[in-house]
Amino acid sequence: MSRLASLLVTLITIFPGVAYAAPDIIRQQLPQSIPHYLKWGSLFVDLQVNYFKVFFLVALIAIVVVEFLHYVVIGPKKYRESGNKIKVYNLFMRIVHWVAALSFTLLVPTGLIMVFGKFFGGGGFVRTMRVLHFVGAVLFVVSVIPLFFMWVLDMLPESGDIKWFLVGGGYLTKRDVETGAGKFNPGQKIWFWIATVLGSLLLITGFLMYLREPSFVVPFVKYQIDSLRLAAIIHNLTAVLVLIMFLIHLYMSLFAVRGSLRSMITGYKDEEEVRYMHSSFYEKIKKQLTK
Amino acid sequence: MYKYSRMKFYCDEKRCIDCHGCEVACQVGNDLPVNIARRKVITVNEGIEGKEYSMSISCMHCTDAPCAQVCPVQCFYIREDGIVLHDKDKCIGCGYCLYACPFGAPQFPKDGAFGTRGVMDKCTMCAGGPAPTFSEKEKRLYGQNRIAEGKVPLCAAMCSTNALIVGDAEHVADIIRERRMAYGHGVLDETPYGWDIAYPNE
Ligand code: SF4
Ligand code: SF4
Ligand code: SF4
Repeated sequence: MSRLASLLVTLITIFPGVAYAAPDIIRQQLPQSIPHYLKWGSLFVDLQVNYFKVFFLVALIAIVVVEFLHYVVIGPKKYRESGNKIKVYNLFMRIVHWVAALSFTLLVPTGLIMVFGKFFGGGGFVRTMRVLHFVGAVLFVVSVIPLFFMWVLDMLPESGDIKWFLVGGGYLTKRDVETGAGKFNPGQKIWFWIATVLGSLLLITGFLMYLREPSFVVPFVKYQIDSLRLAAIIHNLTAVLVLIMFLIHLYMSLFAVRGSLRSMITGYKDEEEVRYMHSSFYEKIKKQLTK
Repeated sequence: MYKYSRMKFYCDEKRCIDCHGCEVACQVGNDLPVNIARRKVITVNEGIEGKEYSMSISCMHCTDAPCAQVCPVQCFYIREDGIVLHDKDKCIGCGYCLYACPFGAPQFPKDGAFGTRGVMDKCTMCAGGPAPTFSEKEKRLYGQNRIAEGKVPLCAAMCSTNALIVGDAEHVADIIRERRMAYGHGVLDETPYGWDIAYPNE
């Protein structure tokens, strides 16, 4: 193919009168100088032009619609107030959680505004969002480490988790069912791992793009700029997943489970909620209480 | 053939003597800050006899302008003559254009809040920007508008060996063809160094 092209060019060069068009000469030559430059660059362009925005939009709409339907059809979980309070979160946990929550509250909308920057017309407003996105990232840096260590043991899989999945977390019915979950249910666990592990991945890739001068080149890419392209690709794809989980978490805590928000403020959950939503945890502490 | 003429750069690697004059002309003539390099001279295959050559690169004003495609705030616009320009009032400095560009043409000053990167700057083919032509604002944000003055862009105007030429793609191609007839191929074995589409397979 390239031999044919060079033959053509030679012909055109020798016989300028022969069929000839400017684009045949002013064209694609740099690949000779920058081998493989196309690989990550064109992948990034393709994804950014055709997919990222669609992913974000579909995720946003789909999750909100599903949550709305759930609210209408099944409705929020309300438990009888037994009046007995069980302490579930200490002050340190609550503070760390709320710093992380604040960081996400900054990061998610500002990130989405940047993704759909065209809609907001760009300029000063979207530029400010970029700065706030960074402020959110700083808050996340300081909260993610204590957040990870204070809950990591509680977030490991347990045998009761299987039951939780089988009963759909108890969310698919209006009845109160024992879900078998421990202190945290598998949904919370999944969110924990996504928020901390993928959140850290977002931090690293975001920070790379923020610096825009990576002093290192990721081993399997060829040029510095490719590590930035890769960072942008990973950042966007990961952000879609985190967005989905964040919206679910938001819905669960604000709307789906009454008392959930209050427990993160006061640190106490009502005995009735724990009995059903975290039944194996309830069994454990009940033994301790009766002892 | 293009539907209408497009402005293109071409750097003749057989003539470029690696003097970096174009860089300096652009820097000084457009009042650019120190860390902004709209044009750079690079040397390829350094030290390999017969294969080493230098050439001057800047924004090549791609026909498919991937930078414009990826910009989240769509601040780019492509003039009818093919010059790719952008609006600094809209740009948010996200850097996506840089990731899309095959040449690393978009540049970012370190002047934003908290030492963040400011808005993007790149070669305008000395055609100013969206601000009113010849206005103070245009000069400050985008540099000279020599195209509107009917002058050749600074870098190509000062090139002492005429390695760097710029103009209507067809005229540039004519010059390349004449030179080829006179002395054959350059260092690159197949075709001369020019630029049209960044990512042809898309
Ligand atoms: S991709 Fe790069 S070289 Fe092409 S028009 Fe955009 S900035 Fe210029
Ligand atoms: S840095 Fe500016 S011009 Fe480049 S993609 Fe981002 S908003 Fe667009
Ligand atoms: S055309 Fe003008 S802005 Fe572009 S590199 Fe040359 S001197 Fe600089």
